[in-house]
Amino acid sequence: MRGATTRRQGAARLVETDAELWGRGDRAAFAELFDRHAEAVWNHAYRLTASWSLAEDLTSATFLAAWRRRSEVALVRDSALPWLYTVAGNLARTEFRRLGRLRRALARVPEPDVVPDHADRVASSVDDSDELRRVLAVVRTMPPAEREAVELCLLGELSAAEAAQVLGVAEVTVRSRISRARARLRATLDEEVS
Amino acid sequence: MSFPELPPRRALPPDVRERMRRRVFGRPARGSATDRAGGRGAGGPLAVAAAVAVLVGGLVVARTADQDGSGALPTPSTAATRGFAGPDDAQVVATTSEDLSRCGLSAALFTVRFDGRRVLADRSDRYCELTYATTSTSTSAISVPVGDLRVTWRSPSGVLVGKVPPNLAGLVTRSSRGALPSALTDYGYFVTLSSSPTTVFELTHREQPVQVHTLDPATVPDAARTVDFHPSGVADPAANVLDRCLDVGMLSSARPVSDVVPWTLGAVVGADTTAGLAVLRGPAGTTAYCRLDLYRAKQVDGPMGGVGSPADAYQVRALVSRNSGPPLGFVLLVGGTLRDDVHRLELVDASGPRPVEVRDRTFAGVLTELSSTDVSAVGARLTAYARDGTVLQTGPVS
Repeated sequence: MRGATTRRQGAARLVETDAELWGRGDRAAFAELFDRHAEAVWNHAYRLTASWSLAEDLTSATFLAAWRRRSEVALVRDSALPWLYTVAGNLARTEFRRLGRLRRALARVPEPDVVPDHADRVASSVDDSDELRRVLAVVRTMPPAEREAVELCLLGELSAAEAAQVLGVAEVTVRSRISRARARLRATLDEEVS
Repeated sequence: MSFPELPPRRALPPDVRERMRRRVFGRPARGSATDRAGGRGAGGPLAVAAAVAVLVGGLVVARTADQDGSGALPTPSTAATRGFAGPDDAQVVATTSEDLSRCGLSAALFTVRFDGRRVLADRSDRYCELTYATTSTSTSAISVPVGDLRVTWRSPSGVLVGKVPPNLAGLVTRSSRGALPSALTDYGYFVTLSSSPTTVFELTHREQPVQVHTLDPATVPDAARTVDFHPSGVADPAANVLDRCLDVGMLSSARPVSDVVPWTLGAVVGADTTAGLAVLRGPAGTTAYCRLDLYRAKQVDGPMGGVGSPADAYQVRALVSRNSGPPLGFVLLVGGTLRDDVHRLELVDASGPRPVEVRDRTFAGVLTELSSTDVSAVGARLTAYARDGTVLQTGPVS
């Protein structure tokens, strides 16, 4: 299970699966899910926004939204991560964009109400974020179906099978979308370089 | 080498983890996983700093759930976290300056949150109800007795506010289907959702039998003025279709929508008429269907059926027929989802092509001026086309 990669190390004990925790639906279970996946969602949120400050906001909002909708969602392959990535992607496209924050951040205009994050100051690689912004600029021009697949599989590094289940389409469809998206990305980015 | 090359993942710094945890759970972790896993504090995320009605020895009291006593709300960072998402009960929550500003109040005695709405009251018996897309304020003082209680306001969405006698030990409100969300607040107020045509009040006084009273909420005078609120900041009706649909959806007892995220607007047809339909796209392929009347959301439903399978080019998930009155007469609204390869959809009946919109793998169509509301008699057909014009699927709408 992917969640294990981000789980805090602890004493050996019987570990409940994401689905079991999700099914419990109580605060303690949700806290455990937060601990398991906060790091993965935070990294994914960065790849969606190219800003560590926005990634922090987006991650918080993602877990809040996930909590509210926990009774309505069936987990994919026992991991909450695909669902959390989907929520993060939707939030990045809707609420954050509506508020203009994402757009301003991508334009690198200083954000008056966002306190620069420590991680931004000491660890951010300008090259990384510039490259990421170029990629995101292309992703935003893609058809919605391709964009979702890119966000889940290329940015989120989910498998095509996991993305297919959360998107409710065939795995081959996801692979096809990814293939088209890669071609689109390669063509656009190569064109920029040339 | 992978393409595109992406920045490597990083370890989550502890201070960032803690900040996010505070936003989600509303208070700092107490330093141990045991504390977090132990589930102390009865609420869930976002319940923090809220107050809950707790029955203690037969006495309903309002108690803050924030055991730290800070009384602070977790700072919302976006509209998504502003708190219309539904608790299943009534919660007394901290009053925010944003809510006071929307209500035009300088201070409030309390704020009570229900599914999709918040109700505030001030010392002058002025009341205010905030939903995601409306603001309603009381316009005059009223007083409707219900046993020892007095109902002093009925909000447009059906919340009753009133005052309780000092010796009241407990209050339960019920509809025919069960208990209604309600709360007793400081300063001797009750706030409850109502149910039409009858809301039952069960009043408990110390060492006395329970008193049962009934009220038809419609008998409480309408004393509210409602204005639109635009979460997007844009007043254009066409730009507010999604927000208005989400607003109505969150207020619906059927709860087709329980939060403003992560819903997006799909296909919309006839929004500027009295018979419009908007399809909302939700998480993991879910959809909801919003009936529109001159850009205003009237009703939001979840999928009302599942004609077809995911392998089909289109699935009809909403089929509504009704008499919309002149000039459109009997109408049939049809909405649903599309397979990814559908480029165009055609909706026709005996009179020819009808308006049908396609957006983001959803569709919405409308047939007007029909001879009846009998769907099977309309004889409408849907045809899905690929980009090259190939017919992917065709069939009757029924």
